[in-house]
Amino acid sequence: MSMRRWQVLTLLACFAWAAVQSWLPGQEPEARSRRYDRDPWRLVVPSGKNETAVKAAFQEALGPASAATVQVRADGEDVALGAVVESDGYLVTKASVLDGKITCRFKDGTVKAARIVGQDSNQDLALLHVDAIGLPTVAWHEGDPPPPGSLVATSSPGNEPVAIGIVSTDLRRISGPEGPQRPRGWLGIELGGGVSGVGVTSVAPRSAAAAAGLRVGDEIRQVDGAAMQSAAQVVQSVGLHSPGEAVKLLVHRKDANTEISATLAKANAFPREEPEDEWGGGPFSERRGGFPLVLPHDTPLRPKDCGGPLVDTDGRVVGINIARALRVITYALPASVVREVVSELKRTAGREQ
Amino acid sequence: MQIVGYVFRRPSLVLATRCLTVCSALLLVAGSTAAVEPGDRPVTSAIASDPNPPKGVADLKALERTVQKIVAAVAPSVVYVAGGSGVVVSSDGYVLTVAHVARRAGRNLVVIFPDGRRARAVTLGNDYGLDAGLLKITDDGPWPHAEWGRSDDLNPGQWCLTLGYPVSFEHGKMPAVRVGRVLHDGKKEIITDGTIMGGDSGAPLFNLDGRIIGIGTKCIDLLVYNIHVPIDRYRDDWEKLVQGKDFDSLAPKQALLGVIPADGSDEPRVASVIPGSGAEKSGIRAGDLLLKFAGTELHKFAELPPLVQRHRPGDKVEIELRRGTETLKLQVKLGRRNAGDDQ
Repeated sequence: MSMRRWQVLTLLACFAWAAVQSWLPGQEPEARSRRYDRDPWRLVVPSGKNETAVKAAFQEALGPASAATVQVRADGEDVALGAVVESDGYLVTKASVLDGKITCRFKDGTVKAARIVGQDSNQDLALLHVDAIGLPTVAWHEGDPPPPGSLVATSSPGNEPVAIGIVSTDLRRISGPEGPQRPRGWLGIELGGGVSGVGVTSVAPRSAAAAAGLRVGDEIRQVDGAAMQSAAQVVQSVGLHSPGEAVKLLVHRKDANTEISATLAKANAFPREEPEDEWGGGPFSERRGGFPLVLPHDTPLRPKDCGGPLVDTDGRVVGINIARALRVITYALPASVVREVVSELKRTAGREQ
Repeated sequence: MQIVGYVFRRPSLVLATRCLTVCSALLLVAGSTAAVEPGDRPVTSAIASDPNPPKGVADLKALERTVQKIVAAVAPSVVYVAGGSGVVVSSDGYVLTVAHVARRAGRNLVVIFPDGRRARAVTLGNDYGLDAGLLKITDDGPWPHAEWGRSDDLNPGQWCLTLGYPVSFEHGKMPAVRVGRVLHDGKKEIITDGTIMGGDSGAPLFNLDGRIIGIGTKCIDLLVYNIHVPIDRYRDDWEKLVQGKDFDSLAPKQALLGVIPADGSDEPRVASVIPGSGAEKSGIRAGDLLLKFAGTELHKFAELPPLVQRHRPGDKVEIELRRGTETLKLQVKLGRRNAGDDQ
């Protein structure tokens, strides 16, 4: 909801880009105005840890894992990577991003429709099935998880890994909300003006509020017919709506009341205001908390790069990336956890059939 | 360049205020342990300064073995302190951190080692310009410590490691490790793509010899823009830091005349002269009444400092003064003002 900070961050990103420009010859001079139009992690910096040469060196080790990595799409949009775990068509991926018609694109370019066999919302892992036989599968890392300092790469179905990184700590438990939260509608205003704090102090460009004609200085007297006494009450009332729904506002402007109807947007199109996010480096996964056991590593990924294999320098899969969590950390479910979930989901599905 | 945030748990930091006080109580602490020094500048190995990317799996595995070895060796010396991080650099407990964690000389803090041990510490000096800060553990050691490296001979492209306690990572446990490469090796700051965030303020940056080359201070939104204070600047500042001085080594150099007024008096009369200053060398004495500084008449002592600050260290100015019944004209070469000096 805090628009002002979003603007500031956008501005800073531009400065940052200019700053990088000054000591990185050969970068595209294209200035990026919106924060998430660019891919901060994908910025291939000469002499950086994710420059092409480093990824190419890792690709040699990744061969089989890369062949077992798929691009997962929901309604035609890339939402995650996935890993083939059994040659007769079973794959795993991140569960909470699967919404719509699911397809998998394989390394050889074939695209297959996928069925969700089962989901473990505790681990945020889904078992998919595609109609295929003889698929290349991942080779699991056996034994203890790799110690801190171990090099890892996130494989892709393409010709190079998505990015490389290292294991940051031992396995840890991550508290936080388990399971996907109901998406909240996003209006795009900042409040705090007026006597009771229901005065609009800023309106985000391209937001639902801007489209509906809300202006700075407006006072929101009612939401859906209920009188508003405080900014918190407005936030709560608007938040009861899901994205795509309309909210009715009674707005006091220049000594007159106006009725305004705004169709809410998806809140996660904008940075979440988690305290640990104030150091930038996003976007982050929507579900990134509430995991019983994860392997934290420092590989910079986008949320849609989760769901696929995390691979060691022997080409063994040490885990499945499950959440882009912090500026400095991505979580992977350890191989042992994933294998247990897979057999459990298969067993449950078999019983139901 | 604009900064998104200091890599610190508490975001509201004001470093603009310069604190130029010297805490004399700290001199006692520092005086008793001043034997520890950054030491000679060690030679950086060819492996540590190699700017080339690994050429294949064998190179990657070699890099991995080195990284794992360093992590195991240095992790015990990386401490959590006051919402940030730090690294112990001597067995008797000197701890490098950043000024926006230590904040000012003379604060009592607790540092927490990865094995859960807690030790009492006191903040020594801070260089607010560079954001360098120093602590001293006051409990008896020996403490696990890491070795000083060099930052003035970095090679862009060389690999590096950061260990610290980013927000949401527990202290009293193994610090979180990040890998990166040096992207820019400035004298005032090192830029790497080893990501740091809140809580990593004061987190050490190591080269592949396992030696400290920098200390984490800031980051911006871009993941490849993480800023560290070069370790050689801690060397440059060492004497002042150990003495518990809070200063700003990047502040413009200010001129110093070297005369001190009498307490409670407003007249431009010299009560004493700073030994070794330009005033003393030119022959100004206690009791002299200053009449003119560089041609400008003085009526109050308070008028003098701004006049001095119009000049730079080394400038020669004429001073007119009355001594007894005599009026004298003296040429004074201005010196350099240090923290805490009067005019």
